[in-house]
Amino acid sequence: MTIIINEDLCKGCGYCIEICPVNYLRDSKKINKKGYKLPETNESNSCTLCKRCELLCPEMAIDVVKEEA
Amino acid sequence: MKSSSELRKKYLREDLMPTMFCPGCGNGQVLNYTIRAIDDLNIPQEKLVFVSGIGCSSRLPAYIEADGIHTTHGRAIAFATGIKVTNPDLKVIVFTGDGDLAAIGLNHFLQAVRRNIDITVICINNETYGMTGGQLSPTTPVGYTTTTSLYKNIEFAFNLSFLAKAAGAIYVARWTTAHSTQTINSIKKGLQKRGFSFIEIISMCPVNKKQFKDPTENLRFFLDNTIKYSKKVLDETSARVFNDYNECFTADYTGKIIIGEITDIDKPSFHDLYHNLKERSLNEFWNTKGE
Amino acid sequence: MKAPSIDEILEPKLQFVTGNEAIVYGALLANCRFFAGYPITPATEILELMMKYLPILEDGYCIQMEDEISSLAAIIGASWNNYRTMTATSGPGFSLMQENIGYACMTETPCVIADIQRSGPSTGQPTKAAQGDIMQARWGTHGDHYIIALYPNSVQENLWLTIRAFNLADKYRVPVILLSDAAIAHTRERLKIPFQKEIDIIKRVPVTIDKENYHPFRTGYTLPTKVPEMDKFGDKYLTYLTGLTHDWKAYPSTENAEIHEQLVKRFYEKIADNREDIIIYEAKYIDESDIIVISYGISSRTALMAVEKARTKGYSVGYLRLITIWPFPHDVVYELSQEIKRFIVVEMNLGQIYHKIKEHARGNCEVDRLNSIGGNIPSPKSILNKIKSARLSDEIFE
Repeated sequence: MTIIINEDLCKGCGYCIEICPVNYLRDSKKINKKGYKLPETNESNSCTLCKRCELLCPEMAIDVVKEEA
Repeated sequence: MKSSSELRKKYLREDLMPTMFCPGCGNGQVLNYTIRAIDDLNIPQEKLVFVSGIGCSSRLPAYIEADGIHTTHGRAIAFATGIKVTNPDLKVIVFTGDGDLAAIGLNHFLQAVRRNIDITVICINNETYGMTGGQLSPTTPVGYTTTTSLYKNIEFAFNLSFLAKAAGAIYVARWTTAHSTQTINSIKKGLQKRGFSFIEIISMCPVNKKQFKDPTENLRFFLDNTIKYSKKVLDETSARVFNDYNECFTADYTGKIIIGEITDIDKPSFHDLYHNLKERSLNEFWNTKGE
Repeated sequence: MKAPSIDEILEPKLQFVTGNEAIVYGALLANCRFFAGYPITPATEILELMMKYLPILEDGYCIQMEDEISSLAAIIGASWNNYRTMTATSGPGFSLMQENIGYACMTETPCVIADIQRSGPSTGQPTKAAQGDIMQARWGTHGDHYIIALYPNSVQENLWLTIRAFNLADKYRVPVILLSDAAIAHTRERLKIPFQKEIDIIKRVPVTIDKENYHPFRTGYTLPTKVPEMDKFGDKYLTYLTGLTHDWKAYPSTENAEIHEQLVKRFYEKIADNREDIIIYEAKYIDESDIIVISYGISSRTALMAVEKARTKGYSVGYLRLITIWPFPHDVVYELSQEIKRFIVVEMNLGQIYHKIKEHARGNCEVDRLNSIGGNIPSPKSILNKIKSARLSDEIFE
């Protein structure tokens, strides 16, 4: 699975990081044009496609996409 | 579940993005839920009308690609009444906040419930006046410190959902912004009911409410500190269940937030009854004309 | 059951009715099909009659709302469903409506607001006539804005000016205040009711541009006018309305002084550019008169009696009745001021239009006043004495 985060829309609130049940997302230390801290996925590949991050995002900035093998 | 980017393209005015809301603001989450609800129901975009009052939550209609009317403080439901009555085919959704609805707009809210006007009111309740800097509102819990309750709030808070139920609303649900699926389902249900539906969503104001260090703490609080509505919590007038009111003034007391579907009944809507009224008026007119 | 036509309801064609009834008949003939109101003396009959007639008409709706604020809110909302809408109130309710009048001005929503004036301030004398809301009709709501206000002086004129009010509202996308007073509202006079086909209905400027290029506040596309095309809710054109300062795309633009100036000035210009079309007044005996009595509404009736009596006694006096109160016919006043010696402004208040006359007479002639408050219509005798007397009133209430 891939988590695509729209960098222009993200405001770095951290909900996606907090809500992920398998801790797939973390703070990336990267900052977007507006100065917000962006999240990123870790190397674990543990996404279960639950889409809680996509549902909870206040900016609708996350797309959870099922990547074909 | 449709993807966010697809939904944004279809429903949002992308040249106005990103929204004016602060990072972590519940308004953005309610926007997310509302878009998903109307998309799931396949409501044609031309038939939607969003009405709002004044406040941060009332800024939502600007972002949605649909007819919208951003009105005066507290009067959104009165405008919505005029819109819905003269065109019952429209799906009228009102976005409002706790100050807009429960303070200045309380009368219009209760009267529209009483008339059972077929609109769906989504009240984004962050228990404060967010846009003006965090003053106390009729839903601020007792004991809270805000910019206008520096010595702790001594006024008891409304439970808007119970008020709506007591006034006769046919569908009332109460969730928090952390309860995404439940909120989406309630909005869908409310849109399909024939009459006044009220969905109250407890939200946060990350910038002006100082109770939490950052938004994720508030989110965690919503997830861990709720209590499902049941007959046992029936007598609570407050939005939260407390053991002892006195503790509010001495401790950092927050109570448990009541959530759930509070009521789900059926009753003839204003339009259904007005339709019958028109029949009666015509009968009377032609009868007297014949004389 | 079939809904009757308006002609079938308004029968017979010659009736003996009150001023309030004439307003209702005029509104129904003008295709008003939504009314929301709140009971208040002396306007209650308008609400009651609308509650009686509107359900009988096709697509007609009428609601008694919980207060005047929500009444005006409901009619503004309904106006956006391509309805001609109206509400009616008196002084205390008119004061409550001011915020939403500003909202109607800002969103350029057509609607008609009848203010059946009664003696004030505050609760005042609910059953007595007065003309105390004249300045409030112009400046009651905050900020720079423009409205149109009409003031008929008879039951027959009530009917025709109500129709005119709806036409002006739709043509210029502005709330129109229809002024009246407790006297005319409850006086019975002969009313000749026209057939619906005799009425001219002026329609709103329709949206004709394609959907991709539609923006709610673009002007000049369908017609060369400063009035934007008006959409309605529920069709393919998606319209956003806000009370915030907005650009022609209707997006809130509060940080831009230029956009604000353009918007607010356009509110003025769309009315000011069309004064010839909007302003009507009645002038009698003004050629070669030394004195002109100016009045409007109920007091104009006794003023005319006094003027005609004075003329039989040889006084060179004329009569000017304002029918459109706002926009104010300042050019007429200025022109006349250069040819006469004295204006006498007769009003049932302590001087409201008086100040406008004084302003536009620009010192060319004297401006005198005759005021009558407390519910007493200025008597022809007192006006005649004023015409005869050479002494000006000394007290001025600012």
